Amino acid sequence: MAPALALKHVSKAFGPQSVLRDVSIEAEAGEFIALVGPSGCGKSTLLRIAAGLERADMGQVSLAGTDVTETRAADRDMAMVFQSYALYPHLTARQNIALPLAMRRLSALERLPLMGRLTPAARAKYASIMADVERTADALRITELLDRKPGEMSGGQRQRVALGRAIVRRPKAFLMDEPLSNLDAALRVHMRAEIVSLHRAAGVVTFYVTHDQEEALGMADRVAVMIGGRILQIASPEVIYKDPEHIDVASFIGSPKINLLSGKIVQGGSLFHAGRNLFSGFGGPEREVSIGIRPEHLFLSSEAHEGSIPLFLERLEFLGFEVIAHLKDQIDGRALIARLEPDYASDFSGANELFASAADHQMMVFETDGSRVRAMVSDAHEAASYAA
Amino acid sequence: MQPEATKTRRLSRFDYREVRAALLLCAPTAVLMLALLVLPTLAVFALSFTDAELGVPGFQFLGFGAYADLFADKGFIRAFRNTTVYVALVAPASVIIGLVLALLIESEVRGRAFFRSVYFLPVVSLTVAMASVWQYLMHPSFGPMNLVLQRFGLPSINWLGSSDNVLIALALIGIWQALGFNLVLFLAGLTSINRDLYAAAEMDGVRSAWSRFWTVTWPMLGPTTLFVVTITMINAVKVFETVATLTQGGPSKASEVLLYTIYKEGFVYLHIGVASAMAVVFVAVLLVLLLIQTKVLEKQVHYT
Repeated sequence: MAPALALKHVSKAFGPQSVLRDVSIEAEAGEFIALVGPSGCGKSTLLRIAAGLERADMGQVSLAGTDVTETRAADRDMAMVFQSYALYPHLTARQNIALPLAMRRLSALERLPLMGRLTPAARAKYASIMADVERTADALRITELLDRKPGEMSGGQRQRVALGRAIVRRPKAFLMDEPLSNLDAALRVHMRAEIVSLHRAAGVVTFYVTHDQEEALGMADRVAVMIGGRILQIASPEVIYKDPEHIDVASFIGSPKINLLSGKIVQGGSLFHAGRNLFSGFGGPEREVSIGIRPEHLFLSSEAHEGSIPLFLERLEFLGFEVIAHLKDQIDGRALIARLEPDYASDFSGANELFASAADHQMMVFETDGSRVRAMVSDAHEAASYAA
Repeated sequence: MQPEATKTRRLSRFDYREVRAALLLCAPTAVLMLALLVLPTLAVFALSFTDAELGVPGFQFLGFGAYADLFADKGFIRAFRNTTVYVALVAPASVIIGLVLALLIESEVRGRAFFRSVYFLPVVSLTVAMASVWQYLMHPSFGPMNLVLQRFGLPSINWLGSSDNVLIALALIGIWQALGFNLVLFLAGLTSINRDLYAAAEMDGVRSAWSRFWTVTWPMLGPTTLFVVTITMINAVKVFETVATLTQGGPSKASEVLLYTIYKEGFVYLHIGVASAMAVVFVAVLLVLLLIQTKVLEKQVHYT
């Protein structure tokens, strides 16, 4: 079956500034895909190209198997939710939600203020629009807001009305551009769940743009990480976190950030960090690499082991459910971070020098160009750990 | 009781000094306002009830009879009616044309600054100087406007010399003057519209430029339009320079307007009392226009 929404080889430049470089993404029917990346990575532009609000310089957009590259946004049958809500301030919530239906179901003549209710046919259409608006408002629990204007609502209420305007006409795709960024933290967490359940109920393919990795990982079926105008990886949240394909994905996703150590693969396939052999099994010539270890995978001990890295303990940060240890590599002076269980961290409270190690399969090795390199042994390990 | 009483007295002494300082600081402005604004206004208001004439000793108090005389005066009624006609021609035309031009200029990036400056030129040029240009343009025998009409086989029009056309001719000049200002205000209003609204309208299926205008542009321009309409009407009510330089109220009083009539009564015939009464009516008209803006329409164009 054709993908529900697909962008193929899309490129876009604003003047000399290239914002999208050959981006392709395909979404299955009913899939929720989050586009996440730092600001300026091109994720909003990609969404606007999918919507038809922006023209791609090259590439193709298809919706349910139909090429819509040349179709204007109004005729694509997608709905969009904006960060600024973009509600019509002079219309009530009811009129805002009804507008997309009125534009599609009523003729220009019937949309005129009084003409609309002259003929029985127009009256019937009008009644059906109002019924749909009521039903949508009911689903979003905003019935009591319907006769208010956006200026008389809170940010969260406006966001609900904006969602209502998007879902009321059952479009072929939802496009959401940072819809929760203007809400306060508590409401944001609540609205995440709400949007996910709305999406489930509607079963419509959704592209969701955000710069917040928590939103992306928590809401999406698949996450596309965009950096510098490219999609570096698109995969399930779990794979994106546990098995990044690129060093930029590894460092963008995860908070606190992944630790990056300088390493070296020597002839014979052994990986070294600061003169210590960590593990073996790599191919290729002798070269510099980076080693990524997530803060929760850094195992600390007050005694040295074979292959462990000597560190200075700078500070322990107590956060309740966990303790963040701020460390410094004794050899190259790099800052490292480890995540500890509070009970276990108290052992180190007076310590100055600690030794860190990590399981082989939890060390991710990246080439200097950022791509992932895997050891044969490590792969076997990983396969085993996934199987278990 | 004793300590509390002292406290009160000390506080009041402090208050007194505060008040004195405040009064001293306000005094220069207050005195100037009184001398230059309030007293003259009150003087005009007082004189409006009299038949005072400059150079004639003594005057009679007429009370509201002065106003009764005023509204019985055919010349004043005529000036009032002419001003109304002039405003009714200038305000809608310059607002609508200004808006249309602003929309056209806004829709095209190239030449925006050029067109904005060109249309703004009449606003910054001297009306008295430009009046002679208009006199030439509208000259009945060799004026370019009539030459154009003749070229198309249409009859010539005696623009400023016929009592049937003179208000229309003056209104044309008035529109030309007001257009640039309105256009610049509308351009500013247009650029302040949130672009997301146009994107949202497109997603909602608003296809034609016509629907887009009525769905987004027109409602969002509400505050700008209200301001433009008010300013244009007030400026049109105050029409004076073109009348004074081109027609002197003629031919046969067909272009007598309020301000010109006030000027003639006060400074030519030296009828201070009558001129004052006219001025009071004139200010009342402006106040009513302002009140309509602030009280009635403001509520309909600000959506919060």
